[in-house]
This record gives sequence, structure tokens and C-alpha cells, in this order.
Amino acid sequence: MALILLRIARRSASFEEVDSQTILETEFSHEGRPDLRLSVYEVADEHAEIVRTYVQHTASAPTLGLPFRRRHHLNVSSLEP
Amino acid sequence: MGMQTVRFAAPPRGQREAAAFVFGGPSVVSALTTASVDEEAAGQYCTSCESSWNLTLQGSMEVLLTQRELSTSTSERRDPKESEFRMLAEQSPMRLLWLIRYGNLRPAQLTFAAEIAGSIADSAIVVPALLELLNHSSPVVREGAVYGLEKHLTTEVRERLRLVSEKDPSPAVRSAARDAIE
Repeated sequence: MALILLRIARRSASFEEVDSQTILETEFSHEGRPDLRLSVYEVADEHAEIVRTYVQHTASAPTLGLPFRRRHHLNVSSLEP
Repeated sequence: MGMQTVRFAAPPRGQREAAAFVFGGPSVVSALTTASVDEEAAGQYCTSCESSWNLTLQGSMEVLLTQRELSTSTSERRDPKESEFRMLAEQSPMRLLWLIRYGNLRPAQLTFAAEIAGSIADSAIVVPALLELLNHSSPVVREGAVYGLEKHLTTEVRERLRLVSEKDPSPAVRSAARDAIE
């Protein structure tokens, strides 16, 4: 079963931005510091698994401060640190 | 209109200008003013609180600024955090709306400030500020404005969001607007 690295974005429009600083600050910063909260998951590349991951991610809303809403998911498997 | 106390935060040492934001009524931001305040005047008006002065001006005004917001240099200013936006939304919503309009926030700050502003209960003060952001050049900001507005679905807001869902150049913003009014 193929696995992917799934990233759940805070703003769908982030990845339409041309300004890398805005992307960095929107998606990878929190409270003025690097955002160390979970947002990337290694999951099976299947619809049900991706939905389950999203639900579990969003269900941690009290911790993450995330409202329930449709979010943008990115497969970041090809990215290297 | 009677005499009312207007509160200015103290500017940093050596800085001679204090900004003030002025509310012309109970809810509407009507003006942004600056007032020159020198050290001597500060001595006259300084209260027991070191970080603020109380001045008496004519008119129906309510002013409150923190020292941080008074800093005129962007490099000197500490960026407000999301937790501070939440605190302002709960405790001082007009200040949050002032920051959104006049605070020169960067898009990444503005988008979260806008979303958090949506938690302010009074649609009459929130909606105008957030509708303005639907015209912002950054799609991230417009998306944040949609998330703020989805908690204030008045007839006017629904109509604006319907237009956004059809005509905004950003697919993400269009999608967010569609979700908001569905």
C-alpha cells in the first residue's frame, strides 16, 4: 500500500501566493514562532484514509484552534528537507 | 456632545507623537488622529499609570492604544500574535477592528485577525471591516475575511459572498465563499 505525506494547510489560498514570506508566515508560523504543531501525516494514499486523517486532525481543534471546515490537502511526499 | 476623557498611551522615550484612534459613536470607527504630545505635556497629564495619559477633549471619543501600537517604526514593533487577536476580540473588539483597518498588518497576520474578528458578536461593527478585506490584494487575506464573515451571514454578507464565490480570481477564496453560504 502506497504511503504519502499529507499536509493539511491553514489557508487554501496560501499556495496561490507568490510571496514566499507570506506562505512561510501563514503556514509554518504560529504565535510568532515556527509552528511545531502536527500538520503532516504519513497515510495510505486512499480516499478513506485521507478523510480519516483530516477528521482526526480537525478533531484536535481545542488544541490547534481549528474550526471545522473544508481544508486544502497537499501531498508533500516529493519534498525533501 | 460633552467633555470626555481620551486616553493616549505613552509614546516610547523621546518619541513625541502619540497616535490615537477615535470612535465617533458606540461602534463605528470614524477617524484616525494623531496628537503631538511633548514631555512637558506628558508631565501635566500623566496619571498613576505609566503607560497612559488621560487627556480631556471635547466630543464623543473613546481612545485606547497600547505602547506597542504607538511605535512608529515597523522594525521596533512586535508583531501581534493570534492569541492576542483572540484576547482583543473578547475584551476589546474595537481595538482588534482598528488593528485590522489601520494596524498595517502583514497578510499572514491579517488573515488570522480577520477570522478571529468574526467571533465578535456585533455584526454591525464587524461586517464593514471584513467586507473591506474582500478587496485585499492577497488571497490569503480574502480567505480569512470569508472565514470571519461566515459567522455574520446577513443579507448583505450573503450577497457579497455570492459574488466572491463567482468572481474572485482565487479558486481557494471562491471555494471558501461557496462553503460559507451553502
